[in-house]
Amino acid sequence: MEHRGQLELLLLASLAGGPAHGYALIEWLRERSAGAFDYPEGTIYPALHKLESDGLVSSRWDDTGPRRRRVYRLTRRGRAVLARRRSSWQEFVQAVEAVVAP
Amino acid sequence: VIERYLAELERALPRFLWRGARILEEVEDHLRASAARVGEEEAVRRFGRPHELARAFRRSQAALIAAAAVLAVLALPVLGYPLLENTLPPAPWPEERQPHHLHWKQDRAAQLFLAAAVAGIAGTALVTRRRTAALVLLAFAVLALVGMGAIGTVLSAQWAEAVPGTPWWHTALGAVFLACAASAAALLARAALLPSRA
Repeated sequence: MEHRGQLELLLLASLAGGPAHGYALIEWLRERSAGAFDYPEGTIYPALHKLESDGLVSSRWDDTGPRRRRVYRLTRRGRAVLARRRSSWQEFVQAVEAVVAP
Repeated sequence: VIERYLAELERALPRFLWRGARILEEVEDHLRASAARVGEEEAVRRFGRPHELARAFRRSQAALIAAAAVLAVLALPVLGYPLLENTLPPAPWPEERQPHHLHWKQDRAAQLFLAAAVAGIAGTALVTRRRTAALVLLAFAVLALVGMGAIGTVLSAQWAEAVPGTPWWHTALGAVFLACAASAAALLARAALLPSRA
């Protein structure tokens, strides 16, 4: 499925449920999409780092488990951007649906 | 298998990558978590090729490289000023009688440098948090530096004409600075034009 342009939106939406590390995010995306988003797992890290550079997510090391993990969470700005992108995505889907639906 | 993958990724990543050590640690954690379920070979296969991952990080680093280039160009006049002061022959006019065609160019170049310094430092400070705002500020800084370089090119040639004994290389300084500013502009354009979304 072609979805690369939407990866940032997918990651922001995934983090809306709470903080998560990269592996958990990719698992969640795969399960939630019933396997449709099954692309190279490494792809999410440049996207996560870019979201962090843009101030939409923040991250910190979590040392509580057996392995040290980098955990990402939405920032306040990230939540605002997610709300805007969700809204424009809904508009886009409705518009496409109105044209494509039989 | 994972160690081999990490070594290959480390070689493929840009040498001065921002957060390079953190990336390797995150990737290792991911691969080990994945390998616990599907085995190392499959975990590595699912993760993707190291060179493609490195290319994606290089793209995300482009703005940082551009900011570093702007700072480097800003540093040139600061570092070069003492050299000029110590190598240029004294001007054959009293300080308050400097020819107008040289005086205004010096003033404009200094004003442009100050504007570039403020915008360049602010842009660099924002580059990891507000990419778009940072790129706008860095673009302003680069424009000011290019303007300064253009004025400097003319000024250095006119100075050499007006002041006997000016070293030959002095006439090239403005053009060299202009070329450096243009290079920073090219890096900035690359950062702005590279796809920002994965």
